[in-house]
Amino acid sequence: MSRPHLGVAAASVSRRGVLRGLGAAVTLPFLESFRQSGQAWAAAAGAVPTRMAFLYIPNGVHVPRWRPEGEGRDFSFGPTLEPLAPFKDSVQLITGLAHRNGTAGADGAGDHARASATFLTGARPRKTAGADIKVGISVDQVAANAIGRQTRFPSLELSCDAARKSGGCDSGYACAYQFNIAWRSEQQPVSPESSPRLVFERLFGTGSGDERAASLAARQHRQRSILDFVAAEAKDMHRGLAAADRRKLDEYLTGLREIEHRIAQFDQEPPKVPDRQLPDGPPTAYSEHLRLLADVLVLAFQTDSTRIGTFMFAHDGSNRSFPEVGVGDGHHSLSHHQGKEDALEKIAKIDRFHAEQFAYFLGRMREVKEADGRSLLDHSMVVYASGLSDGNRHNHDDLPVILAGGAGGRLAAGRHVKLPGEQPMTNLYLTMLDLVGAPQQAFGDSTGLLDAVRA
Amino acid sequence: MATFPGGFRRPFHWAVVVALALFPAAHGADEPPRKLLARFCGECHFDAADEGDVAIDKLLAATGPGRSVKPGAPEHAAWVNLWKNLRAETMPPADEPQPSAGERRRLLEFVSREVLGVDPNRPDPGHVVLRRLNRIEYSNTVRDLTGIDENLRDDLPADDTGYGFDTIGEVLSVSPLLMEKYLELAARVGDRVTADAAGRKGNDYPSNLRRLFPSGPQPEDPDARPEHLRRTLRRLAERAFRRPVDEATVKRLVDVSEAAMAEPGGSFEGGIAAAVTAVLASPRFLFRVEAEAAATTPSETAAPIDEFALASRLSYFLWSTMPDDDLFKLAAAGKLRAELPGQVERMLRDRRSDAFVRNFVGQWLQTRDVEALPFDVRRVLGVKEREQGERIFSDEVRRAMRQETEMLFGHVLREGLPATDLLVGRSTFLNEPLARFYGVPDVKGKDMRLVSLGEDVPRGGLLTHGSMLVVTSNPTRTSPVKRGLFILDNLLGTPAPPAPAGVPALDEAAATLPKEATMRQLMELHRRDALCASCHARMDPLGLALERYNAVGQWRADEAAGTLDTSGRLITGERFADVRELSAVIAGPRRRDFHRCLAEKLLTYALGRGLEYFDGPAVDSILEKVEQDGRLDAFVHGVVASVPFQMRGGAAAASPATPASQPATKGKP
Repeated sequence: MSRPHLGVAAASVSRRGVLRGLGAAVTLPFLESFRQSGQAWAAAAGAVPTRMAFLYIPNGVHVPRWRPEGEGRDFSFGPTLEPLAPFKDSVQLITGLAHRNGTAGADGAGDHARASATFLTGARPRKTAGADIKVGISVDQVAANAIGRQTRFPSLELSCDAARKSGGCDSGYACAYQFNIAWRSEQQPVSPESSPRLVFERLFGTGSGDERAASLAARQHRQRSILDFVAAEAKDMHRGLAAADRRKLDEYLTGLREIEHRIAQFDQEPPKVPDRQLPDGPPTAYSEHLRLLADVLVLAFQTDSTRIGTFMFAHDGSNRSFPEVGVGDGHHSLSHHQGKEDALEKIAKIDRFHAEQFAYFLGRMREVKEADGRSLLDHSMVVYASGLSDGNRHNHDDLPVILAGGAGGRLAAGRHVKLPGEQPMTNLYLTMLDLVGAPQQAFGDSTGLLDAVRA
Repeated sequence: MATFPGGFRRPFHWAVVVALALFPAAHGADEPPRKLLARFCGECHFDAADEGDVAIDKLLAATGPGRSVKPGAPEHAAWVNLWKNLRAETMPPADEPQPSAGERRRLLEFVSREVLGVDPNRPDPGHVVLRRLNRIEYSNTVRDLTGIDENLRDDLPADDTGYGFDTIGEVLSVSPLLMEKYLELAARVGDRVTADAAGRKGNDYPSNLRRLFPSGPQPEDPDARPEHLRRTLRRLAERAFRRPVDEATVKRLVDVSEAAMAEPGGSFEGGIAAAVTAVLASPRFLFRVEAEAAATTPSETAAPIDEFALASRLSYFLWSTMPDDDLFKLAAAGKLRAELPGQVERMLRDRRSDAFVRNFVGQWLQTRDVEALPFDVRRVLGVKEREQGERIFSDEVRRAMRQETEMLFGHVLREGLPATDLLVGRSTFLNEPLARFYGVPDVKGKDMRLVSLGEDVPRGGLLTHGSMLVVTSNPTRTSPVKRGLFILDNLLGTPAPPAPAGVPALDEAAATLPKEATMRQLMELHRRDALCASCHARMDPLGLALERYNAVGQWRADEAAGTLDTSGRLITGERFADVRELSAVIAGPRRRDFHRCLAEKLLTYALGRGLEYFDGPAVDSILEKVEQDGRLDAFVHGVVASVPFQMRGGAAAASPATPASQPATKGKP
């Protein structure tokens, strides 16, 4: 049987082709195309920077068909991960990682909310429908705090979900836990963007060709002209507020400082912008949406606009259907498969669809060559995982986790790493923080470094 | 003292036995709350059992008549948590015996009134955290402030929601990304003002821009210009910040304007446009800053908000935008409070209240989702081609479904009809595409209009609306569980406890059913397991009553459907044969539950915070207002008149003098 999604993908090649061309326009090696700014490079002294990305797939997977055969270098992909075959040397499949804080504990139901909330934080979310939301700072934001100022954007947050579900979310948890994976602080999620065009314009300006660089410069000019005004207003306002309200205004001030910083950096070094543009209008197919966001993320890395990104394919509990691969059922309702073979079959199709999009992302990362001749992928660390293992059991151990990329030759890619016992997912994150230049003593519920993934 | 390994729930019930021995009484309407606590919580939280570090018997011992637990006391937080868990039905856990709705209500009353000392005569309005505009409010406010009507909403990232709404201050945060967007959009609007103003003929500004130039163009006389500029900017700032502004702000805006005018090609209009950009980026525009009517002393727990704050609360509640000139003028004259009922009526008659209908109903009844949810139309409709299915369940039909529910709500609201008409009214809003989809004859044309439904038409009331039936379905089939939950959550206000972790799979039991098992047979599997039965007995019968409607809300006309058993019983005992009788039960014997539920949803939406243990009197005050005739508009009046809408935490909660390091506390001496 022909697979309908291929047809859809083919139809959208021309739209994405625009972006591919865009990649070609900036394939100059990193160091050739970007002058060093003292600030960006003082620490890294000529080295190609390491990038980190976290890709989230919802609702767990069909575990038996995901699981690889064999261990170490001698492994083969499970059926749903076959699309990753061309990248066998660039990925590590890790078995045995868990998010203990995703389990029910004393909090009862709400595994989908906890799956998303713990994913990058390793912390237990406070069960509340809105007041006093609290979980923990996320690994990407820890990295952004440490190294984010070396680039124009400390981090980039992406999601294919354009809106929140109406009404309540999962079992008494605020929707914020389910629709965000990046957390700037224990209390403040970082809302992701979903429109590829808007993200692109935010990074690289509006208009076409030369207009974009000019539009970025004009944007900076306008921002500068009102910063003094709003800073003075905020200061006045701050005086009249209760402590609880000041926290909200502080969020505003933090955002303002980030923009100020960017303006200062802009003065030293105008950003490099690609000379192509994104297709107008929203993507029509889900695969196209995923790939356009992936393209933008690659471009952001390629132009060193940011080194840190998170990308939710969908929020946990998503009930999206996948007509591209002939699955009309909702993903979430399917994930409660009750062991039924036809449901499992469909979940496998969805897993494979996701893996195809991931392979697309890896391919784009591999096409980009850096100054040392290695690829962008070789210089990156990409986690691709779900916060649940089996959607029917809602279990938060034995998570499906892939770590792609080489972190500049410091990761031992091309293996199935089967951990002897269970280890916290945050051990992997602690190791990644080390590698990206943001070492921490501990993170979330970590118990130590995960040396098994290192070269 | 006995200890138990591993913190597991203990296998026997001696605590309950002891508790019951201490309080020997039959279970009944007069069972004292303390005994209810022992009965439902005792196993895990009484007599040395302190699962989760909660020992309710010890908490109870520390309280008694006349000895309420004060904020700041060590037990206070524990009691507040207990109240929250009881209210959200997260306790007792779903796999334990559940109190009835009445018992739960008595427990909640007991905790709030007797333990926590909530006193209707000494109301605590609570504190709504400094709330930023959500993206809909932002877009509307920019439109009404500047006359520039671009849909800015879609340029902003989605707002987080809490308690089911996107108006909740706590979860509306400002990320650096959002900050960037605000500056970008502010600049874009400023550019549009410049461009539009440049195209004016003579001294005549385009009508949409006149509100930005209330004093007209720049005067010829250079000496008159500074005052003219100041007047123009002050008016702009007052409207943008929705309250009077001080001299420092006006001075800053003058600086911004003059700098822009001095640039090459600068103009008076360009200067105003620069000021527009500046005010749109200001925190005073983006946040809703409120003040009290008069300075309060630290001993006051609550104070009325000033009339400007009241005008904003009203306009964002009912219009999702800034106050208009009438509200401003009344607030400035100090007459708004005195004329509130009339103003609310005026605001509801104004078409801007469509925003309230759309945003409140859109989230309460989830009509926002009806147009985008994915469906496998081939399977649901039993057609060969997807295109064919999508012609039947078309975008046009979906849009009409959303409008049907919104328009019915608007109609009941504006015509002074009882809220229960939403459930049992015999008319609805249809156009030809939706009428054809429903199988209702004689509706022609694309305009939605009020249609009286004949007795033989199986429609009428929210439970038969396509919107409700669609948003509670899965992409391939109906979900009686979701439909039942929707009714419990949003109409009866008695949400079922979340399913316990580690629900046993139904696969083995399901395997015993014939392949073509009916939905009812499938649902009955829930009853085989006592663990599942206690909650599913509450939701499944409600959902099964709606089984005559398929996943996209069409009436099942086929032969098999004719024998569908849609009868059932509410957990409170009322029996019904079908959806019409179920609607009548909710609108009749359970009317008070429905009213309470609606009042709580409205109050949450209007206040921008979840309800707390001290909000009971406010909800009761709304219910008193609607007791007579149950009119939907009376709910709105009741919310507006309520203490938390009219007041805010007193001096100690919001005093500028509160050091930043010290957490704000409710001002109890």
